[in-house]
Amino acid sequence: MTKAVYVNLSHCIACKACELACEREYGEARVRVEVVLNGAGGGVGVPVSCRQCETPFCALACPENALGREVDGLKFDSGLCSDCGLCVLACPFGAIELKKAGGGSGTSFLNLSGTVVRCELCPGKETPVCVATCPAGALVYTDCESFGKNIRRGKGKKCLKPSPAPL
Amino acid sequence: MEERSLHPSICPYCSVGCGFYIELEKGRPVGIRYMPEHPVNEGALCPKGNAALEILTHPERLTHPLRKSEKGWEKLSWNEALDTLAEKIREVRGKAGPEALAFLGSAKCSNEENYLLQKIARMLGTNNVDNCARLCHASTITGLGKTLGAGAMTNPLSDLAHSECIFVVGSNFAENHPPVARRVLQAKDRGASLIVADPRLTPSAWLSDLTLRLRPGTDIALINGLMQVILAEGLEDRVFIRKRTVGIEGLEKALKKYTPKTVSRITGVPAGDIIKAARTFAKAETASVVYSMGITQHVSGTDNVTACADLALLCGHLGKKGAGILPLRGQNNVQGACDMGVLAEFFPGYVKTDRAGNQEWLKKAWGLEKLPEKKGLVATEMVDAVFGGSLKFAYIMGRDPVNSTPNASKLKKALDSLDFLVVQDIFLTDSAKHADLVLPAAAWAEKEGSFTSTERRIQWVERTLVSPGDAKPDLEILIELANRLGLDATYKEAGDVLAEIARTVPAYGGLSKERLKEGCGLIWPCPDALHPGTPILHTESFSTPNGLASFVPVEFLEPAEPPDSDYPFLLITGRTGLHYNAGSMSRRSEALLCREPELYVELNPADAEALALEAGTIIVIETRRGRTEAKARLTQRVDRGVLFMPFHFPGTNLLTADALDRESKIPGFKGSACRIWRR
Ligand code: SF4
Ligand code: SF4
Repeated sequence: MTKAVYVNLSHCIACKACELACEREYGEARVRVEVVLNGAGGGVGVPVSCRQCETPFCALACPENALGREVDGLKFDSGLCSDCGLCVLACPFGAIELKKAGGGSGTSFLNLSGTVVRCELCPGKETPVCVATCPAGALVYTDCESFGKNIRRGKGKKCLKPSPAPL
Repeated sequence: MEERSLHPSICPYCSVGCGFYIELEKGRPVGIRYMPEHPVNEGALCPKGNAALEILTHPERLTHPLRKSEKGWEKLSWNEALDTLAEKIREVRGKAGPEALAFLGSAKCSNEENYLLQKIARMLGTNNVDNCARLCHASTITGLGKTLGAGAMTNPLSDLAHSECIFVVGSNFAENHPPVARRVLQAKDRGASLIVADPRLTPSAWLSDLTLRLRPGTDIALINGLMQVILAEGLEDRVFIRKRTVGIEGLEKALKKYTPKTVSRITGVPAGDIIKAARTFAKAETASVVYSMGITQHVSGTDNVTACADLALLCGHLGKKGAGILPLRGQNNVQGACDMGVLAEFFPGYVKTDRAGNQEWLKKAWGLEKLPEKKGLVATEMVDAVFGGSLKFAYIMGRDPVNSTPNASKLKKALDSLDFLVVQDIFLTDSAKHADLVLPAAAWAEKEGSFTSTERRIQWVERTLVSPGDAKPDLEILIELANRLGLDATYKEAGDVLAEIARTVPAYGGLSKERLKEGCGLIWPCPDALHPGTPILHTESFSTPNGLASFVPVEFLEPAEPPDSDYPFLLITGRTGLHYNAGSMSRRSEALLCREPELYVELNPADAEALALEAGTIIVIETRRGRTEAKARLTQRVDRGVLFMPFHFPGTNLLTADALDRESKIPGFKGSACRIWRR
């Protein structure tokens, strides 16, 4: 099963270390943390990076076949990209952003020369930098099945050893 | 590709003391590699750690000694600079006596550098030495000192993972000490309860099982209320109290009136929550108290800390794994600077300067005939001493008081009124701009030395890089100055100074450069060369003369500057995750600055509506001491009537109050009455 960066949302403290680590490593952050507040002072950090979809919506939407899935992951051909932005529209997670070839500010997972710069899970590194740097231990580099299993086991562990006087 | 090499180092920002590797290529720092084997951070780094290299190569680094002249800043050679400085010191000392000199050490410099700075001051005959702990945790030293006998964190951070209950008061650890959140979450994953008491609903409060949103400055009432419930319900640890403490009767008596109902009225926390929190904390097998500047930076700072200690003592939550008091310190070496005696009232190792006989021991160690006995001026008193005419010269090493001291306008005037001010730093900080002489210092990775983290872990930092231009390690500067003053500093390197520290400070007795370089440091007390260090304090007895801890009852007093009709809001200050203290480093770090570019003020949407202010409006904030402008952020994080501003930008400390805690002389930064209007 494909590995990806999973988030334990109850652990994210919205510190943005993951963003800075990625930016430090690749010049641009490919993981972005949104802070969502509940209007009563509570909040949660939501770090989003490419989900490494088995069926990538961005690639399905790309009319020029600039984005396509191959055996070892998503591939991007800058020569074919027409800057239309459909990939941005199609990604259900907001994990892709497009900087128009004409320039302009803002964040981007596609740089000016049209080279793919989306999250590629830090090739050559054992652990992606966002996962390694996360102070809260909120990010996990694993596959979908193990992540779910770990959450279930975690909840189970809590049942085994209840807090002394549950609040 | 060019060969890259990895060099272990310690983050220069905060007191957590995270380890990482600096990646070098052709002598230039090109990257960071994580260090999963490090016992404190397990490889993780917060945003500031990730940005740590940015300041090293910053174009604004100071590269030459500078002298202020009519024409502006003039470069000069080290010889000229140090000769001038030594001459000035001799002149002032000759004319006005040693008491006219002041030396401010740096919680950002190594133990060796701080040790030498205070030694120079004391050999010159003055105890006017201090460090920025005066502004952040002076009250920890006094408050924990008189209850437990040692003003330091009792357990290592990793211990938090083994607490069944964690009570956090006045600390936004999730933003300010992120690796602490890691341990707290590890504890929570094991089933622990987290209680967070804070006037603001911070990201730390997001993680909590129970949030106690108290009115600013009512911490003592809250903690007394918790203890009252514990006693009323018989949840205290009677065995621990009998065997290891004195003074419970006094506490019992003092607490009677702090019923949940009364405390709820004072603090605004529902009585039911007070009872719940008290029961959870007391019934836990192991529980920890975590606090920080929300407790210390008050005119009642010492009493606030004392209350925290009383609470832990009452339940016997001390001296074992997972149970302790954890004051989260600020700077990477603030613990060390204090240990080294860069404090007006203490010689190295917390030996009181003014207690009879205490000077004899140090005179012997330093081979001196005379040492100053009178307690010196603390940083917060120096300002008035300048205006009074008794203080004429100040040496500021690695510190930016213009941005970090309350009532900053007054401080700036004081700096300008000095006969001579020398500032030694890595940038031309706002404070350095007031100096007559500026000395360029090496940054952390450009020098070697030991640093003591918040958990008392002493770690060695290697010299990995060369400094830009003529910038020099602080230690070299101090050695050269000492020799010019005829003080005979024969140290060849930092290791020699550490050897002297080991002979002078018993808790550091077993340390040597070689030992520290071996692993990830040692935790003091480490009295001899074979001692493994002491991660948990007070396991058998407390650090008091009779080995017993003391309960010291404290009373809640109304905050010093309550809001009134002229100044209807209460301003509190603090840190944000993306910046650091005075900001002289973090505001020069592009990755941090672009995410948090400017001064802001948090304000409750209901208050904003009443004043017809929208999000993003530039508003003027005025206190009795000054005014500043900031961009409005509307958020439920702060309650009605409360404003919050980070202190990393110039401006905030123009507003804060300089009233001092009686015992520790820490200023009451938290809680200034203010008024606001649209610019
Ligand atoms: S580093 Fe971890 S805790 Fe911080 S924002 Fe990213 S995921 Fe959240
Ligand atoms: S937590 Fe402190 S020591 Fe660790 S990386 Fe962040 S600033 Fe540095």
